[in-house]
Amino acid sequence: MSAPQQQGGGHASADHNPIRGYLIIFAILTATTVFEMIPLFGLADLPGWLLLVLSAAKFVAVCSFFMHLLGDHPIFSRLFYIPLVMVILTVSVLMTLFGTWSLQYQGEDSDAVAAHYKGKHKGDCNSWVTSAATGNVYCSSPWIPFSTAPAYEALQQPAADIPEFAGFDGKTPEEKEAILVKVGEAVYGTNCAGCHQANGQGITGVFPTLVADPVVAGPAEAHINIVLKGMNGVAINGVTYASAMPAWPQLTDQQIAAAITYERRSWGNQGTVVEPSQVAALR
Amino acid sequence: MGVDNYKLAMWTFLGSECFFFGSLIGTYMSYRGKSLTGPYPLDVFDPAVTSISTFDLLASSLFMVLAVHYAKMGDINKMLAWIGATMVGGLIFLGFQYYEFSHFVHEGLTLKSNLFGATFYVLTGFHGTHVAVGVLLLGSLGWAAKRGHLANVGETTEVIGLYWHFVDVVWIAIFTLVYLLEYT
Repeated sequence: MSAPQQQGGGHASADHNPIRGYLIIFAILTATTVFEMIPLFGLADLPGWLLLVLSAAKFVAVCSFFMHLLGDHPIFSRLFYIPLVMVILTVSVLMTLFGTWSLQYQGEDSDAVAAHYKGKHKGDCNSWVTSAATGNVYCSSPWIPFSTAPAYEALQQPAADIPEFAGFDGKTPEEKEAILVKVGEAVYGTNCAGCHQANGQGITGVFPTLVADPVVAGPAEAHINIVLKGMNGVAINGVTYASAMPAWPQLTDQQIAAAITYERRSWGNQGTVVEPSQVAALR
Repeated sequence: MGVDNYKLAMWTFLGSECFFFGSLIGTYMSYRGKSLTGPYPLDVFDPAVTSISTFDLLASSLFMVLAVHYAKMGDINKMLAWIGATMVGGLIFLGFQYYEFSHFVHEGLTLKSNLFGATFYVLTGFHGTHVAVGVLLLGSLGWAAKRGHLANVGETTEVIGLYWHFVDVVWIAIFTLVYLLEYT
């Protein structure tokens, strides 16, 4: 921190005008902020640690000189900085536990998401982006005046009628399976992969694996019922899981059939195909 | 200890506020990059809006410290002028936050769209609420000072100023952690 020291806590001294000191601090804070904004406008890259250090310096400068912690009674500094240090330690530990010191995108299609981030598409993009996996539509650029942009809701796919299912009942079993697995991969990625993971392996002791699982390999009815109604406190292969499986009645019959079929036909699983009519029968 | 009771109370309160915002920032940072669907931060962030908000709040901190200075000097008219300027700074910040939030919602980011939306709105929303409370505090301070209701204008202005500067330093943290780090 390079703030000048001569003005520290000087608000109370009558023979000394502190305004010049305030202006110097303000100028330093402004210059630091301008520097920090270099990556914001894509002019150059700055390392994350440097941004954190500069931010901490600005933080301490405001506390020291504008809030007069420097030169005031030390009890105020202790009351403020001790909780602050505890918070910084807590957040650091959380970030370490969750592995978020560096960004590792877990979105629907992590490569595409990462490319999207890195591309930092700002510019004059005037288009709407459709997520290949979820069908969600959102603007790829923030520069559209929101009064003229089409409403987000109007661009959503109606959930009840997935286009891939057109003429589904007349298709051959192989075609049906292909449709179910294709749609199911997206439904799974959006709704299931958060716990059971994209590779179906779950997290040992926390979320059950779906690979070579007795329910996934067994009769479809039990599998459908767990997705529709949820499950809690049941031991799987001798392990009792603390986290409950939520019920998913908000998904349509087509989405549930697709996700279940995807689970039953992926990662080496050889379970049966599930059609939407089977889900409808068990609702 | 020979320190002002109200000032001691304010610093104690600000220490507890560190934990309050610490929990919200900890949640945001834990779920960073973990959203399974968009919109993602860089789909919706607007560098120009964020920059103006940041400079605006920084300037308001300067206005606040000037108000405290003139309150301690006993110059109520200048103190009121800088209090007014600080309030305008806070209102401009709130206006930009309203613009930003409605913009984000229009692009599909709501409290329930994904982890980013949930943690972002709760964190920045509570910060905005603190700015709004600060504007109300400054308004009542100005009104009471003008009417001569305050026994010690200097001390009262300094204590409310501490709250205002705290809201500014929380933004310094949010600006870096939520916005800047997305661009590294």
